[in-house]
Amino acid sequence: MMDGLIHWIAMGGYARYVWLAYATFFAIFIAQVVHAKKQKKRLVNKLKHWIKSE
Amino acid sequence: MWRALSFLASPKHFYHKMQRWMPWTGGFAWVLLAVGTIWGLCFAPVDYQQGHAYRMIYIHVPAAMLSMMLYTLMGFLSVSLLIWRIKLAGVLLRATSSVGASMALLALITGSLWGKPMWGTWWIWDARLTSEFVLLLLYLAILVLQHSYQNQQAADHLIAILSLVGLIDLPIIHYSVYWWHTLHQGSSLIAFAKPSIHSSMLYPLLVMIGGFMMYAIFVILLKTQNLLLDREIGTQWVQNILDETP
Repeated sequence: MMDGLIHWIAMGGYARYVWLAYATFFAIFIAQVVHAKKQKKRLVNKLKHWIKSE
Repeated sequence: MWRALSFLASPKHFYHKMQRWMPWTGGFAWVLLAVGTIWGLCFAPVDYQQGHAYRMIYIHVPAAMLSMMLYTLMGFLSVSLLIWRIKLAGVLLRATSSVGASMALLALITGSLWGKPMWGTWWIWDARLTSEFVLLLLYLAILVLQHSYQNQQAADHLIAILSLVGLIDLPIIHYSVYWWHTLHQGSSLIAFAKPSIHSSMLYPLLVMIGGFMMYAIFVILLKTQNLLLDREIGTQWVQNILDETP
């Protein structure tokens, strides 16, 4: 069981390539959503402020 | 098609419709991506030649496909903007370009990570790699153009023209592996043809492609909403939304 898990994590010697690829994939995907959601929050606050000052 | 175009004509209706669709597309995207990742990493069999290294296919192929599909969509949006003068097409064009750029970047990074153990190099000026790199440059040029003009409508038109010119790169990317017999392998998935990949490896790939598509739709809608709020600030419907938002 443990050996199988270690073998799977090692990815047959390609671990650094495979895990780095998946880490990059999730980092880009999550960052894009977080950025868009934060942008919306900032935008709504900016527009509310702008309407008040009008 | 005309119904779809008329739906695009009203930013207000588009915004509200998107508001209802977004939780579904977002939720569906994350579920498909999680299932596809676990299936591809844990349950898909090991390749007899490439070993576990081939598991990068589950990110690399969907990312490369989406980078091209989104650019094709941009071509359609450019025509909608330049010929039918649909203003919303300009907004969608901007939102699509940033998602497309991230897909092209991801395809190149994962391709490089896959290329090192298989080809012995991070990068080579192979026809497929070079044409995909050109696609990334086109996306970046469009992103730069978005922030270079104060007049948003003039920028939209320039982006549309650049997108149409860049369409020439898509057939080059697709057929590069057939026109020039270089290092990059041929396509494993060809429309209307039997795939050259075993079903046990194919199904998780199809799930990932579905996940990437849903994710792209979700992020494009999210970004489109932001751009619409910014552009339509003077209208009553945006003010109502701002009043309702805590």
